[in-house]
Amino acid sequence: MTCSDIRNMTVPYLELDLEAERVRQVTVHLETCHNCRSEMESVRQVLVRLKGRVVPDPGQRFWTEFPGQVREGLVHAKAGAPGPVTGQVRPYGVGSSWWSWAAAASVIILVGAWLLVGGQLFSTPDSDLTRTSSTPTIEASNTGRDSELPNLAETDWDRTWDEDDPEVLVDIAARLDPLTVDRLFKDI
Amino acid sequence: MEESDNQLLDRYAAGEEPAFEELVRRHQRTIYDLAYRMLENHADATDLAQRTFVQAFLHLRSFRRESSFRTWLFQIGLNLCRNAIRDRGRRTHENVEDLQLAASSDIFEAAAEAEVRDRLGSAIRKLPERQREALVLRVYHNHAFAEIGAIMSCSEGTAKANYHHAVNKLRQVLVGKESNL
Repeated sequence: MTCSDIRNMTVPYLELDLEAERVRQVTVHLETCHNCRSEMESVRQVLVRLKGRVVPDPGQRFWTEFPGQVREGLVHAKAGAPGPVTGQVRPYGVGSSWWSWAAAASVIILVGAWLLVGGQLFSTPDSDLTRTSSTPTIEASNTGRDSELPNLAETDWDRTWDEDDPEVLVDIAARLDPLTVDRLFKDI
Repeated sequence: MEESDNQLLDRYAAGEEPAFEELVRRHQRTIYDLAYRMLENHADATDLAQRTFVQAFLHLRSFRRESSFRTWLFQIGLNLCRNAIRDRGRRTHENVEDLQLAASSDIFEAAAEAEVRDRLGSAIRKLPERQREALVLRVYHNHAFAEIGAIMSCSEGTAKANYHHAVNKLRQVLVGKESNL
């Protein structure tokens, strides 16, 4: 067995990944060859130093909270939204608050916009979109898409309004132009 | 007796939520360790470890149980690591040979053991992607080469070759350094 052969088997030898006969041959060679012994020792040093490199433990709290973060990310991923996987583990619930508020506000704004614009679009063909006196009509939902739309006539608006967070409504109102506010809230 | 991963997966599929948490807890340290060793900082490792589990559970139906759940997690984790590293644009212009040249410069003549460790870390980062993966999987996660091959989607022989090349390159870096001391 030559020194070149030994060099090719240095790592497998140290990894105990050689057949017994090969191990014996390498061992015999090492006993008589200083160069190969040095080579073997340098590789062993590399492996020892590699093994000695540790990953800092982020702590018990991190591990405790980790499954919750995964679950949160999974929920967002299933919803098709970018998950809140930010690289920082946060306590349960805390991380979701911003997303929850943003989602809720978006939904309310969209519903408001639908009531406003959709009501106009589905009203009579000659309806004037700029006419400020027209209210978002309940009759609008009765023109063609009844089966797809909720029955607005039967909606208990007083109860619906009461359930909304006033701060959210104020926030929505602040985003609307005065004419729209007038149309939406003049009867309230 | 501890339930197997597959038993937990069956329970999760049946709607038992505690099985989800148990599966994550069982493998979270391993996957975080893999991510940290590949990306080398806590924030990225946390992000990647979380995404690994999210992707795994999101695509659980595609897990055919031909390998272990752990191996599957490693496959997903490594793929995400590759993407993350490429996104960062790391290692695009550097390689181990550059480091060897640096090793002969006077700047490092006063090196101590800590510096050697730093150099080892730098050398690991600059290894070719596949070699580094094989190194991490073998040295830090004690995978058999057959399993490393399964994780890296290559043969056992290729996994061994990648690992051996990695160790030899690191040895050359350290020997080059230490010969100047």
